[in-house]
Amino acid sequence: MKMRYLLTVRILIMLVLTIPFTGCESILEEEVFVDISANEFWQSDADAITAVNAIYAKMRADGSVTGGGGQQEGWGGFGYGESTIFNYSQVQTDEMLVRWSGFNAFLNFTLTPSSYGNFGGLFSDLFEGIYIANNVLINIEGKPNISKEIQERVKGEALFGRALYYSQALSLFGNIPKITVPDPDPFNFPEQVAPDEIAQLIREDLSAAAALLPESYPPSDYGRFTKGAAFALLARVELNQKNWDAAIGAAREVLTLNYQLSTDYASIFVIENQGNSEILLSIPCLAQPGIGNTMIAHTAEPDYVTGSWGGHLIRNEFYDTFDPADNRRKHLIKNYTSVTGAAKTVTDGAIIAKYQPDPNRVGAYAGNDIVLHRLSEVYLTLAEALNEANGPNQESIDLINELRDRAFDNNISKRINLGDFATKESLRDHILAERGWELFAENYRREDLIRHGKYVSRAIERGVTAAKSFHVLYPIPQTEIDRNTKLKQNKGY
Amino acid sequence: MKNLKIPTSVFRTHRDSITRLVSLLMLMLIFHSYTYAQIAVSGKVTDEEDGEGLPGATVLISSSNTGTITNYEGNFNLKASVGDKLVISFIGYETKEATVPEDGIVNVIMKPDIDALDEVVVIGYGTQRKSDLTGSVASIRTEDLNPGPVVSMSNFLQNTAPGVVLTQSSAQPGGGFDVKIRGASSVLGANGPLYVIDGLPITGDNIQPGSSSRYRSSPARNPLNGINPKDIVSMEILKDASSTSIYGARGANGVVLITTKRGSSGKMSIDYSGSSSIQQLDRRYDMLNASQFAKTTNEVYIAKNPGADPLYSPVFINNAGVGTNWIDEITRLGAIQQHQLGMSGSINKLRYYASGNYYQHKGIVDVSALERYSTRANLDYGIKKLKLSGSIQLSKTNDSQIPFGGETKGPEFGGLFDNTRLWSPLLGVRQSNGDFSVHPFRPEIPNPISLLAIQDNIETKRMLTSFSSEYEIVQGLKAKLNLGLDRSSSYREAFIPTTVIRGQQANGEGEIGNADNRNILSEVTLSYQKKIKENDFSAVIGSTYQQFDYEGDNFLFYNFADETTDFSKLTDVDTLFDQYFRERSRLLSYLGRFNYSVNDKYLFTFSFRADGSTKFGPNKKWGYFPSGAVAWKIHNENFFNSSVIEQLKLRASYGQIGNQEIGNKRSQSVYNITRRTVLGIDGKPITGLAALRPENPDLRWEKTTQLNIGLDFAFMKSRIYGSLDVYNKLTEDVLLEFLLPATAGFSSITNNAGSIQNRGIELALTSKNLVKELLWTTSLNIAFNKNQWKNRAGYYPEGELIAKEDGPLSGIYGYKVLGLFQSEDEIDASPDQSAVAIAKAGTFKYADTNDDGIITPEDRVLLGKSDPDYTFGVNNTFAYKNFDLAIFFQGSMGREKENYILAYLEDTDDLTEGFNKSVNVLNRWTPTNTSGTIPGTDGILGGFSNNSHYVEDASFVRLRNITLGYQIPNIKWISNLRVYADIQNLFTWTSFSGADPETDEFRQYPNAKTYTIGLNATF
Repeated sequence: MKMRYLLTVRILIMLVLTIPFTGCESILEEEVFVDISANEFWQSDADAITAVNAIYAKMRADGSVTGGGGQQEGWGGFGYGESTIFNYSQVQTDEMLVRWSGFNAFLNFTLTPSSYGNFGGLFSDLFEGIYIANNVLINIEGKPNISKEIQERVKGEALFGRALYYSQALSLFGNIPKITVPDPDPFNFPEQVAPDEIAQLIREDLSAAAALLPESYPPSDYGRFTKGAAFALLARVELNQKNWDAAIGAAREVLTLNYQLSTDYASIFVIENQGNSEILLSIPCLAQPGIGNTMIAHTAEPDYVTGSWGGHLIRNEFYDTFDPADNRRKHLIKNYTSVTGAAKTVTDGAIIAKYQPDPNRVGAYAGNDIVLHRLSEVYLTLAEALNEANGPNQESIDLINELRDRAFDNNISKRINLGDFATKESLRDHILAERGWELFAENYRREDLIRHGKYVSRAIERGVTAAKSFHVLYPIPQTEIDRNTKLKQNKGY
Repeated sequence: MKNLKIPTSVFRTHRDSITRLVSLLMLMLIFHSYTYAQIAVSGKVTDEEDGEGLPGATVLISSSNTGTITNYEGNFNLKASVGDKLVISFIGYETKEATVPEDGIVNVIMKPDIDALDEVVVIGYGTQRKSDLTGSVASIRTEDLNPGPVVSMSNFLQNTAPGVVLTQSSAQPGGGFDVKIRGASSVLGANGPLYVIDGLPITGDNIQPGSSSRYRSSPARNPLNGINPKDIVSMEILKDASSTSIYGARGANGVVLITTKRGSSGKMSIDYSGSSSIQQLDRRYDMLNASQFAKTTNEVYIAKNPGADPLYSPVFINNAGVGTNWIDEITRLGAIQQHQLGMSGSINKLRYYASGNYYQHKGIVDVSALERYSTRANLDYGIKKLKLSGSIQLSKTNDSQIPFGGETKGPEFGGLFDNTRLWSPLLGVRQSNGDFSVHPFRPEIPNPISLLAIQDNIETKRMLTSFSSEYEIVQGLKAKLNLGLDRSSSYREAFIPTTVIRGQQANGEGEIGNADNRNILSEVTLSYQKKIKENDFSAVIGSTYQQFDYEGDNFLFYNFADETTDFSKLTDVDTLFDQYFRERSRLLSYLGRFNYSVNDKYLFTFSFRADGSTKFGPNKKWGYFPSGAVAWKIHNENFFNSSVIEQLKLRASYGQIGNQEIGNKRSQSVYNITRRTVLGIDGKPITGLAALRPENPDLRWEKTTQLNIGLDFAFMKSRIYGSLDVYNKLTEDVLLEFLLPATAGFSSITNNAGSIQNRGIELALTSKNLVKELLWTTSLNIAFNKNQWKNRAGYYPEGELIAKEDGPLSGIYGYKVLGLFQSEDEIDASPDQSAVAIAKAGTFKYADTNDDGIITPEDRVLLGKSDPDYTFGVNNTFAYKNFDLAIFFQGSMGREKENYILAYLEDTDDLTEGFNKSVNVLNRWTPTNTSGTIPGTDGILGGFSNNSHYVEDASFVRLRNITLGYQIPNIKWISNLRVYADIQNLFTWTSFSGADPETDEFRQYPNAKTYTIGLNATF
């Protein structure tokens, strides 16, 4: 009897310890829903394409990949929020001002490593973009289930993406780490390298990308990086590096491709500007929150374009450099009729109405695609590089005149002549001015002024006493140096 | 020698309701079949000590659960049948039983209960007599607590037990609480306790759908609101390692065991309790009125534009009056009502308890409200050696939320409360045409009253159900199967109409969210109990499996065709985005406990638990949590001889417990949707996938080692009793989210590093000051806790690199303000602070704490901490004849708080842009008022925060409850009828200048005083 009880007890203990779930360890393996486990990814063409899509998404999103950042979707990177290339590239220049006091540190050259505040996300945005591109590049190689064609294209897109983010990081921050393969140990932080090494990496990436990328895509893939965009970006980087011959070479490659100047300057920026023959690279936009173009909302008075905030303006001094007959100045608004019918004048600057207001916009979000590279910029790059390499020459003059003909309704009296430019310097000065008139508010002004050695001097001329030569680079955000103590701050800060 | 014998029978003491139910059951089984005709019964209840009559003692006929109360002389009269069992009870005395004799005269002599604390308390996976506890366990019986309106069980934890610090984080209806037991030990993980309801561990996570919009990002309401607190009979709070290690990886922050009411044997008894309350705004920020606003605006305008004409004429200022008081425009008298109807009894061998509850709270801010319907049925059935129990609770909670606004300071991100402060008192609510008034300078900032049109409603349904069967295999050996399910489904529907600026921009914006949580438990335990001579032995072993599922989605819509909020018409709108969430975690565990006692003097406990969790890395799936405890009942020793001390028990425990309460998917690398963009000539939104975080295969539990030494005591015939505990908790392998440099490609990684210590002393003391005609009992609990980093392992929250290695977890760091600069000369003579703040006459002068001649971020110091040095609760209860009075004070001392909003409300710079300011600015520094203490920022961009001026002492003492009750005697059909009045938060003593020292300062829902009348009746 007693034995039976003991047996029962023993069986019960066994049951207790083994029932619910017979010792299976797999029950403790974490299941992943919605998201995809890294082991299960990179299995198909679709996987490769969604991975490379993140590079495009990063171009407009700010904050971390995980979705932090505190600002609204679509406002970062190449968009128009606070920590954007738009602000970094223009607010410290002779071209633009912002009414909001939050921009004072930019306007007055008083930004410090610790005072970025809401403007500080760009550094990490660029490196997150680089990480996403690197991650595609190390995973795309030799995947048997991904077609050769997609492997090549995606690799080309990722190389371009890496170069795109690195070109901005190099331009804005100068001394940065070079990362092509992320360290498997996340606590092993990288050191900075010489800017030349970064420039070389961009050069190699873009050359490789140009060989891999198609000249164009089927309509459903419009907006992806193309061979033309790769040469245009390479030309821009080489120009900034003052490698005139390389810039000429890259720009000429673009001219061999199937692009042509739009007959009408305004049509480049209309709501339905997608597919415009002049555009080499754009961010397609829809009039929907998060994926629209917010340029007009940032600049227009609320009674000019309802729902706008009226912050960014073109400086009056810059406005005054335009020839009044220049069609391009029509995109700068000094006088307008308000929504209630009143005649209004903007006194402290001019509204940047480059993008035609979208009547179907939702809130701040309009459907005009954001233009990042276009053929006329390549013309001006080629013109400038030729002048720097060879001095004033007819080809440079012709390239510029093509743009001026369009700007002045083919009024040939507005053309420039080779005879007007006795020296390389005089044509150089004209090219800088022409770039301003043609490309204002398109993220070029800072680079142009630095290349021409006028970034700091023009700031001092307009009364910014704090401007010093070291300001050609932005400070590396203090939070980055706190996290990676191997980083050294840019000189002067 | 007086050698007190502690009773060994579990059924010996009765005031604990569980025990009472069990004893009633036994009595019923014996006497059920006997019935006699009713006769008049009378008698006297007297005190054994002095022989005098005891007024107010309860005399209950156990078969019917009806009875009466003794009068002033201790006499009573009632009708009963011969042979009926009477149960006579009185606080501080042992409960007596008597059988009704044929002559109907029952005289009872009551013996003071010298062993007052020998209740049966619930411990993890079992019960134990309180006198046999070796660990630190606090027991709360809800009948002893304040009867005011309580929306959730969290209210019961309010300073009723030492070491439990409850901070109300939001005063909105059903607002959240921050509960910490013995301090905070985790940075990333949750610091709240594990809640176990009738054996089913539930999560304290928010169960409602979140939102992407700042107008809907309201602070989460208490996830426990869906559980009716009126069904709870007792709560046990497990604090030390010995009592919590049986909950292993979830025990580090303490465990709260909740027991609900169950059916008693006998006739059906019906209980009703109801109350009705009104609420009144308590404290507020004092803002400039219209006349002050206009006058101060003039001053600032002229400081900015010297020589300019003032904006407002003296006549205008004189006639401006007080203008619009925006906070008044959004507040109202709040109202709460609650009704609970319960019945319990038995039919044959089935005992039942069933209840229905309705709770409704209209908050003091317009629109905000909470409404809950709940019902519960608890059934127990026992035949021979088999016991079956089943429980189900169903509830539906409707929350109406208000647009709190974002977590960022400043007008652009403000919601309802920010905007009521910011809007100028000169503006009316509406324009003459009936439209809402528009901000004259910043038209994008919405009129606060217009925000009340935002609808944001959440309906949450929750089902808690469990089933258990227990079988006694041989005497003392029981096997138990326990199954449980906690499921909640929550639906959120929000709409911003076009009368609100944001809604206007999107042509109406709507959002729908769903959240579905499921938590299932399956558990088998085997327990054994044996007494051999003076050796008492008991053990439990078991295995348990729990799975937590979460599923949810969010849809955002815009472009509504008309002003309807009828979401069934969604065909007319555009979908902006939809998100879908799904997560699962599992916990597989083995547990055991062995108790052994010798001679009722020496007690030993050993517990362990092994937990396997999906949340951790493949290399660290399992955690092992052992603990041991000893106790010595000194009063049972032969050498112990005291006529004053009845109980003296020394306890010591040591063990390890863990914390696993972090999110899922932290140990492995997963690909996640980043954000969207557009591709294609026709513009098609696309999403991209990118790796979310780096993998960490070594991710593991936080491990807390805790030593506890305690003393339980009772003096003077148990007139004074209590417990004293000291503890030392060291948490290692702290789960931390390390921020990574941007070059890593990820913003952070979850890793185990560093250690945190919590040390403290807790005292619970009850004194029966008067026990005769006037009863007066004082209960005091007080707890000191010191919390500090022992090793930061290089972990610093962003911007707190200055934090000292041994600082507190809740440290507030910033610059120390020495005063205001009086002149340019003083600025020149002071360390240069231009790198961190503006230096002008009238602005803050910062201390150069490291004496290097320049103010840099290195000069930031610890300015305070938000966790208190000590907390206390003091409850005084009085009873005289049929009256009772309770006065409950609560205090939280030695804590600081950042008065976030003040930095904005004292900065006069944007007064000229139409933003209102605190009345404090009337005493700001100006060149003509150099004695002003508020920085003079007229025309100077302020932006001062993060300094000692805004860090204030937020210690407070609250008169939390004052309750007066009256027992109405001798009513037919009603065995017990009590009416009461209660006031909550009548007084608060604090030096904090913000709106409330306790609740969250930034997204402030104003706190309220609550006035309640209510009644309890038993039929």
